Order: sequence, then C-alpha cells, then structure tokens
Amino acid sequence: MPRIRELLARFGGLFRRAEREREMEDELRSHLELAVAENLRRGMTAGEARRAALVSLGGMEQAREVWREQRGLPWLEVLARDLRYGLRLLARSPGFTAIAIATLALGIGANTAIFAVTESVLLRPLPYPSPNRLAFVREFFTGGGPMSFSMPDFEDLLHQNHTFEQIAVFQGYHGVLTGNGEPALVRGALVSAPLLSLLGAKTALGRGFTAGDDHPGAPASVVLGYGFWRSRLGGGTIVGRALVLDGKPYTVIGVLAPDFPYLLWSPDLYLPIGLWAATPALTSRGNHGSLSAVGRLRPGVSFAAARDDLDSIMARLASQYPATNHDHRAFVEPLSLQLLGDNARALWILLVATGLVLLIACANLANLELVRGSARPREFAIRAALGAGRRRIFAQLLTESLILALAGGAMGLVLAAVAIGPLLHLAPQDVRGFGSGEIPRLMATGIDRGVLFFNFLIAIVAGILCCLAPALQSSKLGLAHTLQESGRATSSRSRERLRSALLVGEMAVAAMLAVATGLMLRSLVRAETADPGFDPNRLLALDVVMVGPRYHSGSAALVSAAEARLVDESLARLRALPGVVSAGATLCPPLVGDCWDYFYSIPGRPASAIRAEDAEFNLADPGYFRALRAPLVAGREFTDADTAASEPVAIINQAMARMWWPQSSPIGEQLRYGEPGGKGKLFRIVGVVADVRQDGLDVPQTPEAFFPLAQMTQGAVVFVARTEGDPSALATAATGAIHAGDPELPVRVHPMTDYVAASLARRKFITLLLGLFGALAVGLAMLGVYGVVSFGVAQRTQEIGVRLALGAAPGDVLLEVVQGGARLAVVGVAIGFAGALASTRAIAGLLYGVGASDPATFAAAGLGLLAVALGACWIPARRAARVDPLRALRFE
Amino acid sequence: MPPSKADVLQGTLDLMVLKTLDTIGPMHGYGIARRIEQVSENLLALNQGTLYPALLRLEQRRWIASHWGVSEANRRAKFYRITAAGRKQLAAEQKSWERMAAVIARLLAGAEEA
Repeated sequence: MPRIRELLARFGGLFRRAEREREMEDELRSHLELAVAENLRRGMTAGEARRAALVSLGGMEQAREVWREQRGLPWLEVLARDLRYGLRLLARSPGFTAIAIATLALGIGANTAIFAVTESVLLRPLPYPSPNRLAFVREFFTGGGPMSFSMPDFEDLLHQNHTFEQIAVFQGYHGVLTGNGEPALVRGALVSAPLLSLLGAKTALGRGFTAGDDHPGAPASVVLGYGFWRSRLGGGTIVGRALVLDGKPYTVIGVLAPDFPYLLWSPDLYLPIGLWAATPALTSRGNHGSLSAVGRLRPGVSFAAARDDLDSIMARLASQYPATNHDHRAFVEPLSLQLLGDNARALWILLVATGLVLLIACANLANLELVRGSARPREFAIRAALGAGRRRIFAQLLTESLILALAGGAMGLVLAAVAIGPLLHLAPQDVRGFGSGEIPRLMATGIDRGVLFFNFLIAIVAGILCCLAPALQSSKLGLAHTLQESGRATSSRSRERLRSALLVGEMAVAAMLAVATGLMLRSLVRAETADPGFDPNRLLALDVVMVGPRYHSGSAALVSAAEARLVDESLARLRALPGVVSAGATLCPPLVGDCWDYFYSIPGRPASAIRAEDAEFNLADPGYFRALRAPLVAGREFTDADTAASEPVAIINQAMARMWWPQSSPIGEQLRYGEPGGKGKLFRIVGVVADVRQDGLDVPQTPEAFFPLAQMTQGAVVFVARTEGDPSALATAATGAIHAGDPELPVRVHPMTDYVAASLARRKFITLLLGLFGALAVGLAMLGVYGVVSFGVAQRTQEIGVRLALGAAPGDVLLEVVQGGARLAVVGVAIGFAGALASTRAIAGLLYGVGASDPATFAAAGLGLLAVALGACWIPARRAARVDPLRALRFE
Repeated sequence: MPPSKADVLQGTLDLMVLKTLDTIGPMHGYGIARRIEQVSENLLALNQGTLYPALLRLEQRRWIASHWGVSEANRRAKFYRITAAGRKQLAAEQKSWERMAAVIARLLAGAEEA
C-alpha cells in the first residue's frame, strides 16, 4: 500500500512543477539559514558561518537532482523528453515524416481493413448462443460422402442420441405469395419447432414455433423475417392475419427480431416442417430430400464423441432397415466450418498478403531511417560522449519510430474505415437467393474494438520493426572515430550492407506477392475464357417456380398435367415471340450451382470405393440444348416422344461419359438413379452433351445427367430464350408469354450473362484485393530501390565527379549504378521465387487452370519486377552520369 | 529481489527519521539532521541530498506529514511530524531492526569465541 501511495504521489509530482520547485528552494534556503544562524550563535563571523554551513550541507545542485528524482517519475519524464525531442526532429524534416507516415498508413490501413473483414467473417464467433457447441449434422453415405437426412432417420437420431442437448432440422423453401398485389416468390425455410430457439432467435412481435405448431394436424402457421415484414408487407399489424402461400392460408404467429442471422442468410419466412410430416416425402425412410440438421452438443461433449454416438445409432438403423440404410452413417462437424466454407482460405491468404505489404513498408522506412541515420552518427556520438547510454539512444530511436508508426496507424485506421465501404460494395452479391455466392457476414464488417486493438498492435509492431535496423547501426558506432570525422555523412560498409539486405528482402516479398497475384489473375482469365459449354450471350433466363395447388400432383416425382401444360404453352409462346430464335426449359440453368445431386450407379459395374458415385441431376425439355447452343456429342436429343408413358431416358454430359465409358459409347447403356445397390429407377442413356458448366466457370464440371422434363419434375422450371438482339429488351415480352398461361406465377428474368458474372464475382473480388496489395507491395519496393540507389549516388557524388573529371565515360557510370541496383533486385526476386515455390500449397486451392508453380507466371512476374526495378535505378543512375565534375568537387 | 546496499541504508535512515520525529515531535529538516548528528555523537553527518529525498519519500508514503511554520529562531521552515501510519511502520521497523541487531551481535560474539 505505501508503495502504491508513493507511486501515485510521484505521478502527482509530475505536475505543477514550478510550484514544487519553488517549495524545494524555500526549504533548502531555510535549511541553510538555520545552519548559518546556529554557526553565528557559536560565535563565527558571518562569512565563516555561511561557508561552514555550505560545506557541511554537501553539493546543493546534486541534492536538488536527487530530490527531483524522488519527487517525480524519472523514466516518464525521460519518455516525455524523448517524445518532445522526436516530435521536434520529425517536424524539422517534414518531407521524411510525410513519406514515412504515408507509407505506414498504407501498410497498416490495408492490414486493418482486411483484418476487419477477417474478424467479421472468420474470427467472430457465430452469432448464436454457445456457438462452439453448435454442430451441422447430416447423414453420411460410406463411399459417397455427406447426404441429406430422411425424416425417419433424423427422428431416430433425435430420440436416441445421448450427446446433443437439442437437434433440429431445416430445409430451404420456395413458395409463391399471393393476395398481396403481384404474386411474389418468397424464399424461406422449413424448420422443426426447436430450430429458431436453438439459434437464439428472438421475436419482435408475437411468438416463435412450439411443438404444438409442428405436426400435421396443427393449424398452418408462419413466422416472418423482420426485413420481409417491413419491406414486402409494409410493416403493419400482422400477427393473427393470414398469408396465402402456394394457395394455402397460413396464420402469422410472429415476426422475428431484426437481423436474426438464420444460418447466415435472411429467409423471408419460416414454416413448421411438421405440417408436412405425414406426406410421403417425409414418411419414407429411403427419401433423402434436402433436410439437414443443426444441433447443440451437451456441455463437454466433443464433435468426435457426438459423431460416434450418432454413428452407432445409424449402424443400428442400417441393420434394422438394410434396404434403405445400408452403409449410412452420421456426419457431424462444427457449424462454423459448414457456414464459412472455403472463404477461410482466401481470407487468410489476403491477411498474409497485407502482412507482407506492411513488412515492405517497414523495410522501406527502416531504409529511410538508415539513410537519415547516416547523417546522424555525429548527433549520437555527441550524445554518447555526454553520457547517454546505448539504451538511452535506443529508447530515443524507438520513441521516434513509434511516433511515426502510431501516426501512420491512426491514418491507416482512417484509411481502412473509409475503404471498407467501397470494398464491401465490390463484394459478390447473391443473385439467386439462399445466401449462396455471398461471403457470409461480410456485410457486418466494421471498425470495432477488436479492429482498433489490432490496428494499435500492428502499429506498435511496425514501430519496433522500423527502428531495429537503425538501432543495430547506432550500437556499432565508434565514438572517437565518428567525432574525428568531418561533418560529412559517413557511409560505413556495414550500414550499406544492411540497407542492401533490407532491399533484397523487400524485393523478395514483392516478388512473392507478384507471383501470387499473377497466378490469381491467370486463374481469373482462364476462368473467364473457359468454355462454358454453351453460349451465354444473347440468352435470357426466366426463373419460374410452379408450386401451389394448381400444379400439385401429389407426388414429387410425377409431372402434373397443369405443370406440363404450362411448360409446353409457355415454350410455344416464347418461341413465337419476334426476336426469339429458340427456347427451352430446364430445372437448373448453367452456372448457378448444384440444384439436385444424388447417388446413382451403372448396372453391372461395381460401385468403386474410391469414387464418390454421386452426380448432379437436371431436367431438360427437347429444345433446351439447342437454345443453349450446347453441342450434342453423341446420340440424340430428347423429343416429344419421350413422355411419362415411354421408357425413361437420360442424356449424360461428357464428364460422366468419360468416367464410365472412356473407350466405348454410352448410348444404349443404362443408369440407375439412387443409391448403389438400391432399387432406383433405370434410365436409358440416349445422348451425350458437352459439359455445360453447372457449378461455375472456375469449377471443373462434375458428371451430370439430364432427364426429360416430361418424365420428372421438381416443381420449378427455368426457361431460356435465345434472342436475336439484346436479351434484356425482351424481358417484359417473355415474362408476358409465361403470365399468359398463369398471371399468378412469379417470374425472375436475367440475361444469362448475369449468371456468368455472378459465378465469377467471388474470384474477381479476391483477385482484385490481392492485386491491390500486390501492386502496393511492388510500388513500395520500387520506392525502396529508388531510395537506396539514389542515396548511394548522392553519397558518391564526389567520387563520381572525380572519375568523370579523369575521363570516365558517363555511360559507364550509368551502367555501374544500374548494375548495382539490378544485382540486388535479381537476388531479391530469386529469393522471392524460392519462397513462392515453397508456399504453393497455400494458394493452390484458389487457382483454376494454372499450376501453383506455373513457369509463365513466374517468368512474367520476375521480368516485370526487374523491369520496374531497372526503371527505379535508371533515374538516379542518369543523375549520376550527369554529375558536373566541377560542382561535385566544389560541393565540399 | 534481495535488498541492495542502498536499500538497507535507506531503510536505516527512514528508521532514524521516524524515531527522531516520534521522540521530539514536529521538527524541520535541519533540526532532524542536527538531532541525528548529536545522538550519533557526530559519527553520522546527513547532507541535504540524503535527507530531503528521504523526507519526501516518507511523506509520499504518508508516514510523515508536513506543514510550513515558524522556527524557534523566528524563521519560516517546513515542519515534519510522524503520522499514525508512520508510528505503525516505526514499530515494525524497530522490531525487525532489533531482531537483526541481536542476530548480528550473537554472530559476532560466536565468531570471537571461536
């Protein structure tokens, strides 16, 4: 306690210094006077008394100094002095200060911005209660991979497990809202009652689902998302009212609180899945629709233990129901992993890239400091001679460096805050709903406490890094040696070596980033120029969902007459439109991702353990491939003769043909839809079509099979129309062609080029960011080259002048200077290449159509860097060659 | 951390100042110095550079308090007095000092016998 009091008192001693000083003087004087008075009493003369008193009291000045030290906190005062000195020094060279702060601001700003994104997307825990115990749960087909639940399987897991506090199922839902003006397509979720509370949902109005809402006999109810209620329903009184979805009324029982982050996207509304629990789709153990589950583990239970638990239940089910459940196990992984997907890798790479940019910025600054430092050895030597220890000089350098870094950090923070907005604007947007294509939680990026702390931290680290090199130099100063030298800046050999080393390091890092950027750019170009397997230009896509009583056939797999008629009549009207060349219909248009994947097998061919025998499935009408201009490679197209009554047929893509029939023709072979060993429906293969890219231009096409629209349905259809001119001009007319058959159908129209752009948006975004940082890195490194070379020239002005005076050719001087810089650049690039080769694995997963050690990219990056480096050397070299010998000599 | 030599000396000085103030009541710096010199029969001479930082430290720890007053010779001087916390500290230090002195004395006595 007394010590703390002392510390506080001493801290207080830092203030009102003049007053304290006066008091100290008063006390010292009174002490002296008392001593003199006593000496006088003893009979000394006035002079003797004073002298004796002074002698007995010891050194006054020393006493004052010790007193002052006890009064305040000496180290704090030293720090304040260093700060003042540093600020004065920086103010005296505003050019240096501005460049240093700007360099650091760029480096720190880039780091702060990307960290803000990373924090929001990756590091922040999921916005749910006890997020670390949330698991994503599906079934797992041995040899096939994760797959959707069948409802009976899920219910057995729900009731028999010992490791979960709670599990709930969900699946996506597309529906048509009518009775509120224009019929509208709504995107929602079918959820079992506990799901919303499991995710911590709060209601703004009304209530959430309870078990009473979640069974087939329950009154039909719906819970709305806040955004949907406000923007689409006007935000008025709603609870208790009915919404007509797919022609059926649902009573609104509640509205969720704003910004409820349902699995990181925002459904319009939620329906209790139990309303459908008695339908065949949910009662059949063999039917795996698109049900997934989220569960919360009991406290202390690991994901592995949960998987074991569910696995043992699934194994029991497999022996109990071998027909439907053989080889079925459970799949359990942290929900965060599932929701973030492969965005994690891209973000980490970006974060590393910005870190490297900052390193270059620091190296640059260290170099600048070294250059300045070479003008300062006399200052340091004098201070050392006056008694400053090495630690004091280091502290002085560190203080200066930290001032710069903190100023740069503050500016970087401003930069980041300003840049985040436009950055997010460039981010890929979701085109088709269901949150696919977006980077989850990206939009929540902002400057929060974590970002502030990170910003401060890297500013400090940068400050320390920047002053290491100059500090190393100053510690090597020979005192007498420096003082003896003339006032001219000295250029010790070791300082030059250090500068060169820093430069080589900068070049190496810049080369690594240049290579990474180059690889990403080439991937982007490859993806953009990849053959999509069809012609996306002048192609209109019309997205239609046919749900509701009018189209309901009772069984998911059967086409209702109404649905078939709508498709046929719409196609006929589309084809009749002036400006439309051809038209077709499908379930899942190209590039939107996987709509329907499932297991299949080829009769008579063993299901191999290494190959995951699942494929994408799709539907097509007879005109689809012609409208796409997707070439048929073998066999025939679908025809009007392929009907629900005729033999089931399929057209497979080349990827599937290559997989099973690399040497022979698949035409006439059969394909069994369903799990290997199961009793799925058989389809006769009648044609092979080119690989139409389904999942995106930068994803190699997986095996895919098309069935005729007339033989199967999924309740939704996308019409495509090939147009003569701009497809957007026909949007209204084409929509009318569909509404002529059913004015209540919601239709979304996009030119196919939108899908192309959307499929590359994420890649473009990441490439753009990496390119930005790559450019920044190269720019800073070039600034470094320029700085070091021109400083070298400035120092050698005299020598160069003498050589020119003695008859050296200016060309030789120029060449020599350029060579000096180029040598460093080459070494740096070589080291950078080694680094890039060593870290190919980190980036390989992001590349498309180009190897991580692609020689062309390396060559281009290397040559480009060297060319710019030569340019950076050229300017000072020309200055060197133009040195006027007379002026150079007189300069002294 | 083991106490350094300076710490020991400082501690001793603290003890002397506290004891002096406890014995003679409020006193100015000069008086304290003189008193310690007299008691030590001039074996100890305190200069200002030692005394005043020590007084400041004791005051910062709230073991003594100060006020400006008028000395016996009618001069303005800063007077120090011991506080309650200071008395407690004095007692504790006195005890530990006595214990230490006894140990040293015994040690030295033993050394003589051997």
